[in-house]
Parts: sequence; C-alpha cells; structure tokens
Amino acid sequence: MIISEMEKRVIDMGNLRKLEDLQANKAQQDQTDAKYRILVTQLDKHSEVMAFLKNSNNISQQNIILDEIQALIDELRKAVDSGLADKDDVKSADGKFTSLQVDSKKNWQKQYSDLTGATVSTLKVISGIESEKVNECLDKIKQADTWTLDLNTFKNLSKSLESANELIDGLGLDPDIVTFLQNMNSGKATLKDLSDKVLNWIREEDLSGRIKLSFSIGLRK
Amino acid sequence: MNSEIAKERISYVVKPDSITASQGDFLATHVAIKRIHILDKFVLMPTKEKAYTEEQIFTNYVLNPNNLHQFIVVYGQSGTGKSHLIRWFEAKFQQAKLENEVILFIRRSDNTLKGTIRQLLEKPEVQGISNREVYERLVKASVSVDENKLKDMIYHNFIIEIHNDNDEHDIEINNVKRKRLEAFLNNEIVHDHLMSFDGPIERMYSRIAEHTLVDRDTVAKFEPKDFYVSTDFFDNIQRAGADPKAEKMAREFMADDTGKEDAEKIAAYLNQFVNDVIQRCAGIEPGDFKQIFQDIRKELYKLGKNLTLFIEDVTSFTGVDTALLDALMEEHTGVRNGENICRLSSVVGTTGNYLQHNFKDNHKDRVTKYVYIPSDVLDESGLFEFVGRYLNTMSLPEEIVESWVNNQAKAEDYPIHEAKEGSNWETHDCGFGKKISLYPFTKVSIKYLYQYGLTNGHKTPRYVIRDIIEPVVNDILYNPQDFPSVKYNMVNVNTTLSFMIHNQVKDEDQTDRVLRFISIWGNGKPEKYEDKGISYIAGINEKIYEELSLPILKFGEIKPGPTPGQGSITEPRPTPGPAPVQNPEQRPVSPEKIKRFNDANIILTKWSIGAAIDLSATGGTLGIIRAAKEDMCNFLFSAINWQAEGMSMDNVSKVKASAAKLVIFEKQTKGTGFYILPATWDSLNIVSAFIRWREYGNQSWDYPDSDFDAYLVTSWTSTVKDEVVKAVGEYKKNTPVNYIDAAVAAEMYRLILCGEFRERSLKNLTADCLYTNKPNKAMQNSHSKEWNSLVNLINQKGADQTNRDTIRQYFNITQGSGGTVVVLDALGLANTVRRVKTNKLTIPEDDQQADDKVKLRRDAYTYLQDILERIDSVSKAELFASKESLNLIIDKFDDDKIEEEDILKLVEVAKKFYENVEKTQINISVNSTDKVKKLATQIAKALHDISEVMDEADPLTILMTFSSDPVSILQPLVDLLVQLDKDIETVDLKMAKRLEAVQDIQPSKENQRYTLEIEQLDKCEQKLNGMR
Repeated sequence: MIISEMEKRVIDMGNLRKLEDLQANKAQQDQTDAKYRILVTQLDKHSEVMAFLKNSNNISQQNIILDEIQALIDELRKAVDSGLADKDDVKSADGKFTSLQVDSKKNWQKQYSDLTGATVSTLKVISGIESEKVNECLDKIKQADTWTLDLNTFKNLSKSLESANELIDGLGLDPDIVTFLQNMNSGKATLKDLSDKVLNWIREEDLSGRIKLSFSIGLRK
Repeated sequence: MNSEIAKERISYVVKPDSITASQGDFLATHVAIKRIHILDKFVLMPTKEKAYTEEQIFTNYVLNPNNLHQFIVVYGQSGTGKSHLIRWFEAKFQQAKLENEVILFIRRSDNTLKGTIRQLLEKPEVQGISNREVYERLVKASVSVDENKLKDMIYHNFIIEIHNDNDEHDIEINNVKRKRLEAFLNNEIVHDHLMSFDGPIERMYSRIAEHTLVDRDTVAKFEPKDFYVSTDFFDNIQRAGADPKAEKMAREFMADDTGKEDAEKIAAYLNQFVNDVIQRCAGIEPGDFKQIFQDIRKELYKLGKNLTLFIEDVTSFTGVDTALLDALMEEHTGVRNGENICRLSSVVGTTGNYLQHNFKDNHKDRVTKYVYIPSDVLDESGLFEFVGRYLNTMSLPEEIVESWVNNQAKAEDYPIHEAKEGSNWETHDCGFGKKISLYPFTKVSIKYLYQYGLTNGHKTPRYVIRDIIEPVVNDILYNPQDFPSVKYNMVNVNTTLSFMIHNQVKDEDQTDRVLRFISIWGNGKPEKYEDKGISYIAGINEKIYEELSLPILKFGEIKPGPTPGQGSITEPRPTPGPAPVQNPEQRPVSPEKIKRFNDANIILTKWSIGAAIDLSATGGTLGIIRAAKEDMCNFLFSAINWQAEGMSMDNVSKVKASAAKLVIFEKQTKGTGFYILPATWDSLNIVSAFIRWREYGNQSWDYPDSDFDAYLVTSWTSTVKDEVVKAVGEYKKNTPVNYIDAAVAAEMYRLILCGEFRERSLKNLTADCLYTNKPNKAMQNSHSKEWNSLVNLINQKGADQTNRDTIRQYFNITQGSGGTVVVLDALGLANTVRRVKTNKLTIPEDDQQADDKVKLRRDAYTYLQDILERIDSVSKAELFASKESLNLIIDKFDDDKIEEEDILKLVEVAKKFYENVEKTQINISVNSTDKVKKLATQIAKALHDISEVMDEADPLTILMTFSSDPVSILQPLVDLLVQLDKDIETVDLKMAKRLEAVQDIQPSKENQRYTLEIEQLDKCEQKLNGMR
C-alpha cells in the first residue's frame, strides 16, 4: 500500500539523515559525548562529595542546591534521549553545573568555617603543645577550605578533624578543659565554661591572647 | 325532329365528306357560302379581297360564259367546304344542261389516275376513242395489291432509289452517308417505325390507295420528325443487332446538337424520290395519262364537244401531279403540234399548303382564277342555318327530299319536316317564312360548341358536322335520359350556379348533367324569369327541363333582359355570375386571364369526373392549378388557428416546410400530402376560386364577384378544418405524431453526454434542464474516444441546436404576433418529460415513427437513433477507459473501498514524504498535493460511482455515471499516485547509494551509547534522595 510505503520511506530517510548527520558530526559528537561524560562524572562526584559530607560531617545541603542537582540530572538524561548527546543540551547542562559549583562553593565556605572553625581555633590554641601534629592537622584541614569535587580532600578533612580531636584528647587535659576545647571547636564555648581550672590552663599555656570572645545570636532582647 | 326518321337517316345525311351524301341530302343541307374571295394570283390566306357569293362565282366563272380554257383552283383550309362547293358547282352545272358539254366529276375516292381515266373512258362521248381497248386494259390491269405489300413496295423503292442515286437531284449526300442511310432503312426496327400508322409510308400509301383512314390533308412526304431517334429507340435498334452502319446513322440522328439538322436534310433528300416511287407503285406512268387525255380531248373535239372537269381534290394525284397539271393546263387554242383538242375547263380543289409547296411556279402562273374559301366562312346566322338544315334533312324521308330535288330544288319549296319532338325548342328562320327547328340544340349551345367544342383550325363545317351535330343528335336519339351526356369542355362555369345546383341536386350524375345543360345550352346563370307567359330557367324554357326529365331548380327571379341581337359566334362567353357589385375599383378581367382560367377549368373538370391529374409542372395550365393548390395550402396554414386546435406550431411549421403538401388532389399522380381533396364538383369550385384569386385578382380579392369566392373559401375551410388538423397531427391514421418524444429523449442524452446534467438518476432531469442553457465549459475531458466522437456527431452542423429549437418551439404558445416573452405549455412539457423518462429515453418499438413523411419530424428520430445506436459501444468504451485509472488507484491503496479519509491520509503522508525528501536533500520535485486534498470528496465519490457501474449492463446508467467525467476527477489522484510511485523509486535508488556511504555508522539504539552515564545519573539521584 502506498501510504505504508511512504511511511517506511519517511522513516528510512530519517534514519539516513541521522546516519549522515552522524557521519558529518562525529567529531563534534565525540566532543559533546566527552563533555557529557565529564559532566555526568562531575555531577556524580559532586553528589558523592555531598553525600560524604552529609554522612560523615552531617552537613546538609540546602534544598535549592538539591533541586539544582535534580534538574541537572534530568537535563543530562534528556540530553541523550535521541540516542546521541545533544550538544545544546550538554552545553546547557554544563552551564547549570557551573552554576551549581558556584553555589556549592559559596555554601561550602560557610559550611567549612562552621565545621572547622572551633577545631582550628583549638588547634591553634594547642599548637604550642603539639605543634607538629597540630600543623599537620591544620594543613590537611586547610586543604579542604575551597570547594572541590575531590572526595579525598574531604576525606582528609574528616580525618584531620578526627585527628585534631584525638590530639586534643591526647593532651590529657582536664575534662573541663577538654570540654571547654570541644566547645571551643564547636563554637559553643561560653564564659560559663571559663572555670578556674580552665582559666588557669589558659594562663599556663599562654593562650589568653588566642581565644576571642564574641556574642551569640539572641543576646539582645 | 322526327326521331324515328332521324335514326334511319342520320348516317346518310351526316357525312363530313359531302361528296358521299346523296344529291338530295347534299342540296337539302347546303347553306349558301357568301364570303368567297376571287384572286388572280395565289395568296395563302387573303383577307382584304372582296367577298363574293357562290352564286356569283358560278355564274361568272364556273359556267364559263365565254367558253374559255380555264383552270380554276378552289382552295382553303381543310374542312372549309371546298369539296362541298365544287360539288355544288357541279350540281348547278348539271342543272344548267349546257349543250355540247361533257361533264366529269372526279371524286376523292376516284382520285387516282386509273380512276380518272376509267371514268373518262366510260363516258358515251369517248366510246369511239382509238385504242380504247388498250386503255381499258391498262386501267383494269391494276391488280388489287395487298395493302401491306403495297406499303412495303413503297418503302423498298425508296431504298432502291437511294442505292441507285447518281446525284442528279438537287439535294445530295455523300457515299458514306448514303450507305449508312440504306443500312438504317434496312434495319427492322426502323422499318417498323417508318411503316407505322402515323408514319410517312402510310401517308404516301393513302395517296395511292382508294380507301384510307389518313387525314386527307396531310402531304405525302417524309418529315424531319420521322427521323428523330430517342435513346429508347436507339437501344431497340442496338438490341436487335443492327448493322454498324445503321447504328452510326442512328447515332447521328440522336446527337443533341446536330441530330435534328441531319433529320431535316435526310427527309428533304428522300422527298426528292417520292413522286418517282409513288408513280412506280401506282402502276401508271405520267406519259400514259397524258397520252390518254390527249386522245380523249381529240375525240371530243371531233365530236364538237367541250370538257368540264370538276376534281374534288387534286392533291390525291401525288406522283403524277406535274403530268396531270400539264395535261389540264394545256390550252386548246394557239399554235400547237398535232391534232386539235377540245376546250377544257377545270375546277379543282386543293389545300393552300399543297398549292404553296407542290404547284410549281409555271403551274401557278397558268391557273386562270383562284377561289379562296376562308375558315370563318359561316357567320352566326349561317351556322344556325347550317345546323338547322342538317337537323331538318335527317328528319325528312328520303323521297320528300328527292321530290324537291327533282323539282329543281327551289329555295321557296324547301321542305320542313313534321316535328314530333322539339316543339318548345328554338327555331331558325331560313327564308321564305320557313322556320327550322334547332332541337336538340339551342342557339346558345350551337355558338358555345362552335367556340369551345371545336379546336382552333377545326372551326369548319366538316367538324361542325362531325364533332357537334352528329354526337349531339345521336345522344338525344339514343340516350335521351342522360342528355346531354357528351362531356364537352365547360368554360367559365359560373361558381354560384355550380354551388346552387349542388345544393339543390344531390345525385352527382344529375348535378353534372344539369350543370352541363345550363352552362352549354343555357346562359350559365342561376336566374329565372318569365317572358310572355313562359318561364325560363337560365335562359331555357322550363318545359324543356321537364321534357328532358331534368330537375327544376330554384333560382332567383330577375326581369328578362333584351333579346340578344345577331352577334359574332367568336365572341367569348362573358364571365358568368351574379350581377357584379358596384365596385369602381375592381378592374375587369382580361381575356387572357379568362382563357387561362378556362384552360385550367377544363383539366379540373376532367379531374372531377375521375381523371388522374399530374401537378408536377410549374408552368402552363397545370402550373396554374398547382399554384392554386399551393395557395390553398398557404391559406389553410394561415386561416386555421392551430394552437386553438391543440396543435403545436412547431409541428405546423415542420409540415409547412415538408415536401408532403398540406393539400393534395385525389388521383394526383405524384406527391404526398395530408388532406386529400376529393375529386368532386365542390372541390372544383374551391380550386376555381383560388385560381381566380390568383389570376383575376392578382393574389387579392380585387376582382368581380370575389365576395362569393371568399365566402366559398371560408366556408370550405371550416368544413375541412377538423380533418386537416387531424391529418397534420397524425403520423398515420389514428396515430398521433410523437416526434417530440424523440427530440426530448435526444436532448436528454445530449445533456448527459455533454456533461450538462451530471446526476446518476433521471429523477432531477426536469423540464428546466431542457430549457436552461448551461454549457459545459471544460475544454478537455477524460472521456473515451467513442464518447467524444458521439458528442461531435450530435453537435455536427448545428443538429443539437435544431433539436433544442424543436423542443422550445413545440411547447411554445405563441402570444399574439410574437414577442420576447415565451409562454410554455407546461402541462404538455411535463407530460412529455415524464413519459420519456419512464421509457428510459427510448421510444418503444411500436411507437417509432422513423418513416414519417415529414422530413423535419423524421429528423428528430434520426437524431435520436444516431445516439441510441452508439450508446452501447460508448458505455463499454467508457468503462474500459476508466478501468485503468480505477485499478491503479485500488492497487495503490490496496483496497477497493476508498473513502475520503483514506485520500486525506494519503495526502498527509505524501506531504510528509516530500518534506522528508526535502530534508534529506533528495533531488525530486515536490509534488503538490493540494489539488487532491481539495478534491478529496469528489474523488472519493467518483471512485465510488465508477466502481458501482463496473458490472452494470444498462448503457444509460453507465452514461449517467460518466456524465460528470469522473475519470477527470480521478486524474489528479492518479497523477499523484503515479508520481509518488516514481518518486518512491527514485528515493529508494538515491537512498541506497547514500546508505552505502554511511554503512559504518551505527546510531545508538535505546541510548546504549550512554548506558554508563545513565547509570551514573541514576546513582546520583539515589544519593540525592538520600540527602533530602
């Protein structure tokens, strides 16, 4: 029947076009594919990092970031719907990923600070005690201060933080002083924590000048 | 009349040849001839000479008071009374009883040389003639030769003369022609022709034989017409196996340009031998006669006697005329050789023609006196007396006549018969107080019959006796109950008279008789008057009607007019009829027109009593009648209100244009017509009225008594109208014409074939369709050759327009004198349309009128027949032609039921196909599918319609299906499908090539190319979900 014949030819022509397009655009396609793959890998890494941070450091991401990630996943799926990674879709996804990175980087700055601030302060406080170890911790902690998709960096960070806590604990410090340093690491130390013992310790270790006071939110009535 | 005596005596008295009547009857019937001319030199028809009476001529010349040699010639036309006068001269001469005069009267029957000599030898005065025995033997030696043998002798003597012709005669022909002429005359067919009753040999034989039926006045010689050879005559000669020379001669005579000339020459050539041949066959030589005559004259001289010869007819001496004339003209005085001869006085009769051609000049010079009898020798009174004397003599016993003759036949003693019949009839005063009864004639009838009953050239005493007296008297003697039954020509018959007679007398034979009696014996007028106590009907005593058992008719009374005075018998009868209406503008009718009418009336009279009539001539008398018939037709056409009679004007105009005439005459030899005018007196009156309208009135009613003619014509029209209308409206008896059905059927077919009516059922084929002109403007079509051929045929030479005009005009009811508004006989039209549709556009075989005598009506049938003969083959051809398209479409759709949506689907897919072709950059012209899309509905319908009739047997159903030219409608689809096929093929070819180039390239299927990445993304999503 001629209709079916024509329909078949329509399909055949479509296929031919694709093949020809393929042939004509192979290099470009390869590029796009590569880019696509990179993107996917990067996103995978990004997700992995975020999942690690969540699991290991209990760092939750904002919904907006999560939504961004979801949208990106969808776009990347769509980009290959036709069988070949669509250049424009990939480009668009790339743009979105870049934007995600920017947002993630911005977010990490705070998250890093929150995560490492007290510890770093404490370490700095105790740097005179075990300076080599403290410096080592501080270096490793410092490596993670910029957002990266390298999981190892964050793994090292976690280890460093653990090492820092172990170091602090390893100093045999009075439990109040330990508590005070822990509070200091977590940013929760207050003047109430400045017991005599603690004050004495601070004076003994000459850390008075290293500990800063600040008001916490909700002070003002 | 005394009919008893008349029955016995008529055959003795009534003798056209006066010589054969007895002396007593001759004298009793003799009417003195008064207007004779005497001339010294021959003039063929003298007119200015002084007139003498017979008495004067006898006394001054015949009696020969001075005893001179005389040769007196009495001449005139045939029948004028030459023989009668010569006989009268002889009778008077005998009465004069001159001494020493030998009188010899040579009658025509004795008019041979032998007879003449025989008579002379019988005279007592010449008994002593020397050699008398020898001469007697000579005349007696004439063997009574058989008639046929004698004629053959004459014939073959001519051949002998030709054969032995040594060019001594004035007219010569060359040897070749002479031999051909001999062979021609020897031919059996030619021989029979020239020997026929009216041929030259018979004429010559009559001069020799003593008893013959040939007219005495014909000259015995060859005439050119004896040698006119017609095609049939030539064929007969050829068929009989003619000698080639005879055939050649016949051809010469047959030649259009020179034939007549040759015939004239040959006749003149042969006439040179006539005298020699006849004298040879007569058996006596001129020299013999001369010798004998000389001897007789010598003998008489010796006896102191003179000889007076009366020769009735010298023309019968043909063959020896020179010798005879020489002998008669030899004078007894003067210087002579030989013995003295007696004085001779000859009175001879001859015709002017003979005198002119056969008397040599020297003979003419030796005629001492010419006595000329003119043709109109009888005046009116003389004619009445002539007829009266014959009627009187035949009623007288022979002995009374003889007694009167023996008493010197004095006029005052002339015997008048005792009349048993005719006491109420007219008489003629013949002098001395004697009145002779003219029964069974009237003076009017004598004049009429003389004027109209005798042809020109025959108005002579002989023909008065033969053609008037004898037949009329025999009629009254032997047929009194039907008298007058002799059907003389009737001229100027009074129409009113005829009409009144036919109204009052129902018996056709009686009306005929009465009309004839009144028209010839009476004054021809329907009038009655009383004069001196006697009642006259049409101028005839009423008692005569009773005598003859004729009906007494009722005519209008008039006062008697003055008695008509003596008039010329050559005065034409005045136009009969009622007293003319005082109309100063009506001109009198000229005699020429009256004559033309009379001539026509003669023919019509014969027709009305049973003779056939041939009206194919356009000129002459028959042409006049034919013109009158045409006038009758035209009159009826215009006078009858056809529409009021329910007759279509189209039919009327077709009949008018037809070769078959509206009116034909009963017994008309050629031609066909509608209304047959019966051969009756009434019809004669009507035709006469039309002739008068044309001839007298110059195609108007402006002539005397035209009002009666007008009345006749109009009343006749109302009488025959119904029959005429019926005849016009009928194809054959009791079968109305139905050509309009054929015309309507043909037009319906034309509408279908030309695509002006495109439906598949006749239901909506109404009268409107026939009258609305919606020509199909399509310049081209997809019909079969046969279809287009048929369309061309039916449109050829405007036949379609003619047929349409027939339909339009047939139902058109003409309003007044015309106009632009057309009023139709809607009911008639609707009925016809319905009928035709019911019969499925054919005419049932029993109702066909293809042999209609009206050509234009027949044409409607022919037109329809041209279509019907072809529709079967046209429908088959159309199916055949459409099959290809249909099968292609079915094949491509792979379905025999294709709906509109299928076509639209095709269009859609085709569009997509071509879009892809473009996208794929395959070099094919994109085919537009717009047309197919636009026509999808019609295409689907066309497919459906054609499929439905593929197995149809009825040609009309097929034609109606194809009327809308469905194949043309299918054409865009067919074109598209064909093109698509080609394009698909092209696409395949091109794609195949291009596929070869990309055969290494395999596109991922179902995203296999990115399987890992997709998995990765899935894991990301999982992780993401874990982070929420």
